[in-house]
Amino acid sequence: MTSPNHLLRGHAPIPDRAWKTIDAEARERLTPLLAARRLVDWVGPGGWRHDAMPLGRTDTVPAPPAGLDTTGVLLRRRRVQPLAEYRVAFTVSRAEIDDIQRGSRDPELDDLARAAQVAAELENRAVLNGWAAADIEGVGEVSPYAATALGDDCSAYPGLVAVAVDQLRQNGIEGPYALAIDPARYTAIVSTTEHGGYPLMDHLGRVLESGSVVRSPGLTGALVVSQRGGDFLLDVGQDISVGYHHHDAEQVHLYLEESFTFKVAEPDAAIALT
Amino acid sequence: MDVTDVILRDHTWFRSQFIALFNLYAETDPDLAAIEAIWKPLADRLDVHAAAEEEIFYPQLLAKGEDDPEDETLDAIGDHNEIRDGVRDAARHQLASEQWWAAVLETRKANDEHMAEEEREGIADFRQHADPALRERLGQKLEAYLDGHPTTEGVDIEDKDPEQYVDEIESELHPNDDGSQERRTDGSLGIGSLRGQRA
Repeated sequence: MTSPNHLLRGHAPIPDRAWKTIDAEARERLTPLLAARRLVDWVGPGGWRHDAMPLGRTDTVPAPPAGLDTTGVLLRRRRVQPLAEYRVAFTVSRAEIDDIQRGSRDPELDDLARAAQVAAELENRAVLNGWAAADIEGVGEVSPYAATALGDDCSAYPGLVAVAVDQLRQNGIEGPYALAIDPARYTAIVSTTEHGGYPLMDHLGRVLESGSVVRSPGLTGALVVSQRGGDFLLDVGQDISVGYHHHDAEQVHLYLEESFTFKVAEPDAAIALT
Repeated sequence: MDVTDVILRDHTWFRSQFIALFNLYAETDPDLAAIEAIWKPLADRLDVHAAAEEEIFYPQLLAKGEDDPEDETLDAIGDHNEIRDGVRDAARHQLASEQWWAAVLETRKANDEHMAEEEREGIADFRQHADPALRERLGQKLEAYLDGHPTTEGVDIEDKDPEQYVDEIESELHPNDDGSQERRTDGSLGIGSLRGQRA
């Protein structure tokens, strides 16, 4: 594990009590939004110096060092998947920090809430939909199954999800299963009851073999994902942290930071619903 | 006894012993045996007291304090190093020589400054923000530590890097959100895996 010094928290004009408040608020805001972490296996945290996920595979090196005759010598190079980093900037007013020190229990940290939403959506989207620029293939991207149209009529969801679950099971992918779904459709599910007053959420839970429906900010569409384990790996270097950038007379400029990458080990273990 | 009272009891004793010692310095023909009889237990207790605070009090101040306990602790560990250095310096000189008295005076100044600062900051912070039952429990631990170490034998009397000390203690004191005690030394929020957890 590496030292947290690169976050430069000790250089911020933020007393200990205010740091605790900012960290607690960040944790409180982020945790309900981090949907991907509820669905995939976790590797790490490896710390800030963790650079890449080992893939256990090699490429052929086409030529030896110049001038050497390597007839009969096998040349290979290890393949790794580099971690991506993000920093989402936000500010906290120095007046608010002063009030926290005075004992204020209702701190206004709106910009932190905005940054938390961005950070969580970035991680969710990278894992579930993919992030090509960072060499991350998402769960939905690599699924070999033809995507099924989900539509907006949530009363049809149990039937569609049941078909997806059956397809996974027929391919040897065991449950339980989870349904990751965008916030708008999640809200529709929560607020819907079927004939006889049976909650749609409970019906979906039974279809998923006691799996859960996960509200997934940042996700486009929905995914039915096996929860048996070992199919999806989120490799985290620096887990989400609050660091310090600079300050002026009015504001302290901070950021949320994370380094991670993601790998699908078994593409057959998820089905995308669009 | 409240841990802060145990600390203050030692402070009172330190002050009285330094006064007694420098009363002997003022005498024209000081009694070396009397000087040694005061200094040896005083020097040992300064070391043991610092080690005991670092073992028992400051970790809890970092956990419960609210008036910038990190800064208070950084100052305190730095002061402890100066006190330890003074004791070591005195040990290098002949008892009651001018160099020895100079080293003891430096030790006294460092200790006076440390005690005043600690009483004004760390102890006041802890009394205001730590639960009385915790203060009582820590008081029992501190008394047991001091009683169990009449000399520096078995006591860590080496100087410590203040920032490293604070980093290590904070890592140990802030458990993860799931209640596990796994050390978190990366400065992160410690959110970690949420696998299987419902929002």
